[in-house]
Amino acid sequence: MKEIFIISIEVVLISSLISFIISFFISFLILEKRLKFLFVFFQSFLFIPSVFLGLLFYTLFKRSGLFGFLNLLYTSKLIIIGETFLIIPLMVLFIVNGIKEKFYEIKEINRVFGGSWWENLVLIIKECKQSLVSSFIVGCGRVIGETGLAMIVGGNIEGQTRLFSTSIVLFTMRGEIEKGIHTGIFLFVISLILNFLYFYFAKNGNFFKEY
Amino acid sequence: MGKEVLTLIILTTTSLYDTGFLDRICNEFEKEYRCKTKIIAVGSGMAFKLGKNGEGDLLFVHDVKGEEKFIKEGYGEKRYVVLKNEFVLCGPKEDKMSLCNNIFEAFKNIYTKNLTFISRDDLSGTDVKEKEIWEKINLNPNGKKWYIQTGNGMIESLRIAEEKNGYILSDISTFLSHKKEFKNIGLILKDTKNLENYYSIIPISDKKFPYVNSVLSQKFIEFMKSEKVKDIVENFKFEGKKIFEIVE
Repeated sequence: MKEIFIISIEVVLISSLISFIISFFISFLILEKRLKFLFVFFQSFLFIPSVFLGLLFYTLFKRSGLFGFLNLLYTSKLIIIGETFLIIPLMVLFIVNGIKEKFYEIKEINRVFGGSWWENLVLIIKECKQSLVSSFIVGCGRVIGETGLAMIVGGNIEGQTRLFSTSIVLFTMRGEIEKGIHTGIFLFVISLILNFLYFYFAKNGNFFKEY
Repeated sequence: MGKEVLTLIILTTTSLYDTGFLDRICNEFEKEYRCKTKIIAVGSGMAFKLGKNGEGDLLFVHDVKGEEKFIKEGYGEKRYVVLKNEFVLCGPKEDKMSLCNNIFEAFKNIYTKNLTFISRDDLSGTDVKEKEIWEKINLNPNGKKWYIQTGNGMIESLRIAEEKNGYILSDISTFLSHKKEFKNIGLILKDTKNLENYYSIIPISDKKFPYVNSVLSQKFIEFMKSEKVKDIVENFKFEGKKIFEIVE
């Protein structure tokens, strides 16, 4: 259980973080250059089942595959890479929608004050912190619950690539339904605690102000 | 409303389903008895669980101990052994096992030489058999670094063995039906005497679950002994080899 916890947290945090950074810059690009086409393009990726992405990664990374020499199949590294790609479209969607209203406003102000693009970026992060953190949390949630890709590229190997979600798959296969349900509830309680901690420490006094 | 079509729900293990064998049997059965079949292919562990909840009409599995327990607990009355084949040891083609005569020696060899071994650990019939062998030679591989527990199905675990160059116990049907996929691993050891694999049917007790269709279950068991099924079994081959044998 301890190993599952550590590996799961590692996968969730690292993939969400990498994906967040990439998605943020993509979103920035979309808004800055008004690339509606690119936005729609990413949005369409939301419809791709994660098992398909898993299969794609499997064929690329198996030993006889294109990237087989990297020896990444059935490691948590490949799960992280896979999940990162999986949630980029989701995060782009949430980030763009979360910051687009303030984006042009901030850009205009920044232009008037003669700030650089870097200062523009920092201002956006500061002003849209709440939307950005929400996008990050959505990404984490998607990764925690994901099984299709993690099963295929990870292999559900004990102590190496077994995550909370895939361990529930195993409990189901074994017919140990109670254990599966306990794991699910445990997972839910953790996410509840984390989310409440976030809202407590983030001191979101103005959370409901705009409504 | 038209005539109601009866449905037979079969709780089965993945090896019968993944090879496409059960589909073929059920198609013929549906034609002959004008009914429908629903195949629920899960690990044996889950199949027993579903059976104990009365979620199907019959079990079609390969785990003798589990089957006996199932009957002892009153969820079924009798087991009908209908098919057999065998388990085999698969592993890296550059063989380190050539001196082993039987599966026990091979497992000992794996243990003492710390060779990578892939275990399914999903309480399926194959997994139970593997654990039985470790028990019989009094060695416990749990926690060893070379002992990889996948918690995955047979095909997936074979794929992991292919990638990690590991040894693995598999039913011969799943291995042969996917042999084309495997370049690094091959059949290493056959030990028919110690690795027999019996598939049996247990109709789920209609005393425990009154809604269970035991009439259709009995028909299915009869059908498994018919000439038609014999014909299917004779012609069901991978790489020119017969996969199952009828048990009289």
